[in-house]
Amino acid sequence: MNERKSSRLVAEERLFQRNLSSLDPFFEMMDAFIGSVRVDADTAADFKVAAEELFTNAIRHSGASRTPIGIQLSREDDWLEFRLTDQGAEPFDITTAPLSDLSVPIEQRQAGGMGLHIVRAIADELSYTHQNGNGIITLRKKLR
Amino acid sequence: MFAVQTDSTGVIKLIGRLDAAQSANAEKALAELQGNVTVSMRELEYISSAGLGLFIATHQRLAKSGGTLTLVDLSDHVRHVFHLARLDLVLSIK
Repeated sequence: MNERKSSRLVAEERLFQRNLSSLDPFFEMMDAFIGSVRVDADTAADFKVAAEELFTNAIRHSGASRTPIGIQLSREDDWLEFRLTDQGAEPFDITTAPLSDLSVPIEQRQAGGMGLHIVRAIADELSYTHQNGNGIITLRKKLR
Repeated sequence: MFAVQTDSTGVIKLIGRLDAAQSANAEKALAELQGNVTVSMRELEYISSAGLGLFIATHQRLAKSGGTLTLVDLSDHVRHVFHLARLDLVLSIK
C-alpha cells in the first residue's frame, strides 16, 4: 500500500501594524514566500492581489484600531494558503457578505466594493471563523 | 515602488506597484488631468481594487466635462484584474 506524503512549507507567521504603511513589509513577505515555492507567475499575481484585498480590508474595516494583524503563508502539495488573523475584530463573515453590483453603468459605479469580488473570483477555497475574539480568514489557491 | 510620469506626447505613464498605500499618490496625479486622457500601463506591474477605483472616478469626472479616459498597454495581469472587476467592459481599454 502506497502512502501519500504531503509536503508542507510554512513561512513564519508575522504580525503587522494596522495601517497602510505595513503594505511594503507585507509585500516583502509575500514576495519572499512566492520566491521560495514553485508558483507560476499568473497564480502568484492573483494570490498577491487577493491577499492584499483581505489585508487592506482588515486594516480599514475590522473596527479594532490598535491590534496587529497576523499573516501566515504556506504551501501544501498543490495548494497555496493565506491565513489572516484579525485580532480583536468584530465578526464579519467575508464568505457570506453581500457583494456590490458590478453590472450598473459606469456612470453609477462606486469606486469601492470591488475587492470582495476579486477575492472570491481568485480563491478556490475561502473560509471564515471567529474564535476567541479573533477573525480568521483562510484563502486557498490551487496551483495549475 | 510606484511613480507617475508624463511623456512628451502627453501620455500618462504609471510605473511599478499601484497598491492601496500608493492609491493616494495616483489619485493626486489623476485629479489634475483634463480633456482626453491616455494612460499607459506598460510599466505598471501590479494593481488592486484601490487602484481600479481611481479609474472609475477619473472616467466619471472627465466624462462630465466631455473628456475621455483611455487605458493602453496593460500587462496580462493588470488586464485580468480589470476583468475580475468587470471594468474591461465599461472602460476604454486598448
